Amino acid sequence: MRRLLAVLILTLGVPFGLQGQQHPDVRRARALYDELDLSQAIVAARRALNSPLTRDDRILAWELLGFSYGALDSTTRAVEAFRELIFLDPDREPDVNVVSPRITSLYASALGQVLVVRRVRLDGTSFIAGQGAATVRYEVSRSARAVTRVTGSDVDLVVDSQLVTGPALVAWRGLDDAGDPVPPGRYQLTVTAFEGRNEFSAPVAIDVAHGEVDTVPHLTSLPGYTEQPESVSPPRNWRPMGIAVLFAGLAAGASIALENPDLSGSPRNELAGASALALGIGLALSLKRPDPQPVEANIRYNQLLREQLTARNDEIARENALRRRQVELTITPAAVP
Amino acid sequence: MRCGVVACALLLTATSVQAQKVRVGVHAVGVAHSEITDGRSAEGGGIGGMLSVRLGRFGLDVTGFAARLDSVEGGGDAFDLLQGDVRVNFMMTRGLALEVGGGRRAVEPDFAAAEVALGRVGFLSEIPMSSAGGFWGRAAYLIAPQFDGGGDAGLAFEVGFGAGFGTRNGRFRVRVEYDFQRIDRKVNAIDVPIQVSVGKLGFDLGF
Repeated sequence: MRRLLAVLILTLGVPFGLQGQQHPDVRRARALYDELDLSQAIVAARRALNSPLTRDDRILAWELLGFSYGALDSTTRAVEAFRELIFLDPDREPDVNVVSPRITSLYASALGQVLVVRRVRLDGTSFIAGQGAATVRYEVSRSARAVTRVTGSDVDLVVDSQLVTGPALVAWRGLDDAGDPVPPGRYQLTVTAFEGRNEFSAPVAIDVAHGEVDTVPHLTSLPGYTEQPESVSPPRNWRPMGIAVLFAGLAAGASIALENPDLSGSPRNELAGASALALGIGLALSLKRPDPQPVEANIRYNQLLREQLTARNDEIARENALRRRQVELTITPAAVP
Repeated sequence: MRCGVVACALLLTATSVQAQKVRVGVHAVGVAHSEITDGRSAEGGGIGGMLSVRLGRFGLDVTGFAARLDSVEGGGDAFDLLQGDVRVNFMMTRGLALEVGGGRRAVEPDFAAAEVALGRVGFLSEIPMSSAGGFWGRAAYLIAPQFDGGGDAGLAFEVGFGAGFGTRNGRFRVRVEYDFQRIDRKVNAIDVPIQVSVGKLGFDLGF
């Protein structure tokens, strides 16, 4: 019955990430586990753990022990093995999609018994110093006070301290105690959880880079507003011709009507010629396109628009002067070598 | 020669093309001169010049011409006529100015026609149509005409009109004008009326 259960567990749950082992005992334990010889697998794993192992081999050995004890219904030992595994690699956990619920349950039980900080992540971001922050995410396995600290050359800053249960967020503005941007370089961000005498720290390396802040281009026009024509040409009209007829008519009429009766037979060639030419000029002025006339409303509108544009560009100039003194901080997780 | 130098200097130094302050021009004239009766009418042509200055609401117009006139019916001798007029105007309202001035008309040979010196007061109406041109009309009462042969005038007046058309910047302008003058002269209670019509066609430059 027990053997059948073990087969069932192993069929449903395949241990995770067991590749890459180097130590012979670890390799042997893995082979015995695959052959479902769980007792011998436990013996081999224990023997391996008594030997000097690399961190990865040690993780694999405890993992094999946890799975083997779990398959053999040795709950307490399975939980102990998983606890050691969690201390070694808090972020490692069974994949619930491929591992049996029993194993995941034992792992969760072990996780609830230890104090660890897990899944410490920094969201890489860029922002103007003093106007943004980088977000740090982490989880604490049990209720504890979590202190987030950034350390580097000549820098040791407590970024945050809070009581945490489960997941938590911390925003780091990238400033030192004086409010100035921290110098560029590599830093270590450490989240330490305290609960009574228990304490666990999870460090991650981060890179801080400085850059120039982009300036804002000056405007040549206000978006959504266009200048209006300040003058328009009125349509052609016959007013000049009318004025010419009026003037020529009045002068001709007056000069004829007011002639001296004794001299009424005087030549009128000059009058006829001048009147004809004046009418011709009237016709020409009527056919010529009239002068553009200023549109006061549009002139005032454009003036207002230019004042607004000037004011906006003044604001941009002031903003750019400020930006040239600012620093753009780029905070990213350090690349794992 | 000196006038030519001045005109060239004005042309070279002219910078403002809008609202010209000074205009100088030349024109051809046609003159009809009648005296006493229709039978003593003379007609002819000549050339003349003009200078116009605008300063604020004040304006100054100086014109003059010389013409050779022949008798219309061939009954008299030909004579030369030289006339000069000065007008000063003050723009009272838009388009209407008060105008005062004087003028003198001389003839050669003496007594071929009456020589006249006169003063004038009247008004000038000026209507600009655009920067390219405009119209003007004037009427004036002629004050105390003086004649070389004596006599006086009971009624004396003149009317005239003109038109200009040119480039939009106002630099060049073709100008046509017509002036009619009637003087009811009496010499020893005998009517010796004078009537003169002058037509002008020319161009002027603005500075």
